[in-house]
Amino acid sequence: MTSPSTDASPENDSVIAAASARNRRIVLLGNPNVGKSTLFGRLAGARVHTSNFPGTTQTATHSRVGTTEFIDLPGIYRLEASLDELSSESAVCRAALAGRLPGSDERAQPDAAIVVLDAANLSRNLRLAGEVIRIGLPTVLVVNRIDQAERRGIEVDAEALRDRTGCPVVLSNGLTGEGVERIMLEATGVREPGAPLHDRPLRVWAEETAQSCVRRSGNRADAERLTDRLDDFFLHPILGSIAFMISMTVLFWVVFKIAAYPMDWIDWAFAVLAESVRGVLPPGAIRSLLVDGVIGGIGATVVFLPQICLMFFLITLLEHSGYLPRAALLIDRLLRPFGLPGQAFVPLLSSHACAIPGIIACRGIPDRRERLATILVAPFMSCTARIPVYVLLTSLLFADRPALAAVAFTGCYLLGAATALGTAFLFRTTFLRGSSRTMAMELPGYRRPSLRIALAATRDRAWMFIRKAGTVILAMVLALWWLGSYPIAPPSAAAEDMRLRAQEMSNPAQASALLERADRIDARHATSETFMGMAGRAAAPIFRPLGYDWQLTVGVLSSFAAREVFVSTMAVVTASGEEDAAETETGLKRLATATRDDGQTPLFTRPTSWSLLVFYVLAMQCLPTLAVTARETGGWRWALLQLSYMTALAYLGGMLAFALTGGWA
Amino acid sequence: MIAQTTGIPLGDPQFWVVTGVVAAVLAFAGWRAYRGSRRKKSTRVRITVERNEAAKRGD
Repeated sequence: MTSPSTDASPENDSVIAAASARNRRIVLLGNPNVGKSTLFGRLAGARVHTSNFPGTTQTATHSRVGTTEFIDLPGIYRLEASLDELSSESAVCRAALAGRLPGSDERAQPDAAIVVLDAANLSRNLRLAGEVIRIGLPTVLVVNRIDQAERRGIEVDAEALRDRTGCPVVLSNGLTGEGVERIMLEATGVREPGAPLHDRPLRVWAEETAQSCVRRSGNRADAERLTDRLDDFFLHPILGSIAFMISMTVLFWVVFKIAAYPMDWIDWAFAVLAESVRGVLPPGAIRSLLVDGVIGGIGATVVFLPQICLMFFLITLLEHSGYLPRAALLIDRLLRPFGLPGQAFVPLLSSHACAIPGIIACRGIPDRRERLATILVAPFMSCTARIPVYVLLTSLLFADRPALAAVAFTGCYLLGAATALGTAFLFRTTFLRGSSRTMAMELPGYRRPSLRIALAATRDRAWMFIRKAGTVILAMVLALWWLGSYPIAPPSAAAEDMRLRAQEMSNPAQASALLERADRIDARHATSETFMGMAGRAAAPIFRPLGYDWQLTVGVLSSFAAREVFVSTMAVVTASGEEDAAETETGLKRLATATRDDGQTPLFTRPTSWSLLVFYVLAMQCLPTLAVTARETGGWRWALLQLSYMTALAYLGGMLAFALTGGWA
Repeated sequence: MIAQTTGIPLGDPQFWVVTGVVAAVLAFAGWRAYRGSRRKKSTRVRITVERNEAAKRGD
């Protein structure tokens, strides 16, 4: 549930006055993608995510204007989903109508319902309205998108609809705000339920009512002809596929190319902040906690914010343009053989930014088995948190060949996507076996995307990510910092010996180099003696078949909760305490030349780097994603299964990569 | 001062400060997660759909 702020002003003061006059709770219902959330935003002055894609609102959102509480409910076709599997959306709607407020133990039945109807699809939309009227709740019918209907030669007679249903009827256009004031006045004033339907079948009642209220001019408007022409192109098996590939290539190119600049700025800002704190505080545990734990840990996470923002911004633009539902239909042909529906396309695409919103977006998949399969494979999509690990390892593998590094980088994305499809196929032919239904999705009209809405959606997503960084990730990073800092080992004998020798040297440059080497040995010795180091040494035999020593094992274990932690951990384990050493040229060189305990074998051998790369493509290594899987599937059973098979697959994949690249030779 | 046997600097006030901060942040994150799971439970609604009724009405 979300509780958006109500800082934006509603239409005008008279609306607020009308709302404030009574203490009422009003719910907004309607079919998917009829513009409920846009109207809700107008009525309640609340910021909500809207789009031109069916099923955007998945949970109830409430907002208060004066003493009137508005509840925006997810779009549904039926309250009693008798012919279909019950979805979480209809559950939310039924609960709200029964007086159970989402996120609260308070029970209070709504005083009135606003049922939003699409003027161009009145017959189908009225079936839901009939269900609400049957409950006996005072109802206001809002016929929305009258502008689009008029363009298609459809005219709705509000008077006739009011006579047939016994409910106040308002014609509106949510985008321009037309009719919003009337809706508010009618909703706060309505006291009587609509005319009884008796036992007439809803379908018959809805069709008869629509026939008596709708007039068609018979002339198809230019806009509709344009939509058809665009659909002929975008839904064409070949031309549509080419358009799809181009749009996705542009999307990813922009995300990774453009976002690199603000990422550098954020990186620089955190480095400056760390340096400032280092300059102010004396050496000690508190300084280390602030610099290495808080600033280093949060900085390593927040640096991905630009990529996530850009990804959401572009996806929102695509959603609003009306293209994404077409892409979902197109991709349905590709996903169907693997047991996934076309609706899985948007969750899987979103998972390239972050698996968490991707998994949440799976609520739009009506079939439970298909939804579960999509949730279980979504984390295989390479999210932005994997990027630093990919960059580090491909740079180590192809230090002087950037073109090959780029190919390997792209290969990671392809391997993730291919594994997701393969795993989905496996699940859908075993424990999630079931018939696949034909994808039925209402295609909305094409629209010019709204920059304002896209920016608002991006801001909300960014805030969600920052909150996550400030709570879950901060907690994990601090816990790892503590485990990686204690117990404190006495200085190593070898390092002490080097320092003594450095004091006796006459050449200052040689002495300095020796002292630097002694510091590195001490840092590695200190890390190896901490709780994390002990765990790394204890677990090292498990990862030996993959070619990892205790240092790499520490990196893998420390990144269990958040995979991006691997880079900073390896920088700390192999370096002399310099922050973000792995991200600088010298840091990369140090990692490339870092050795194992024997002082000779490189830490990152070629087979080891390949093994790590495959491991991180396939491994779960993200605690917040697991928590979201548990939440979305209703328990930890599926989340634990997801963790188990992804870890097992990553282990086997890493081992195979190690063996194939000569690691066992 | 570092405890000779354990390596845990029990006598260092900074150790207690950082340990306290880490524990507090972990406790806060745990509390938030617990609160979130409780909220989810309260909204979980058992749905009982009378399919036959709807079918009888011809819906």
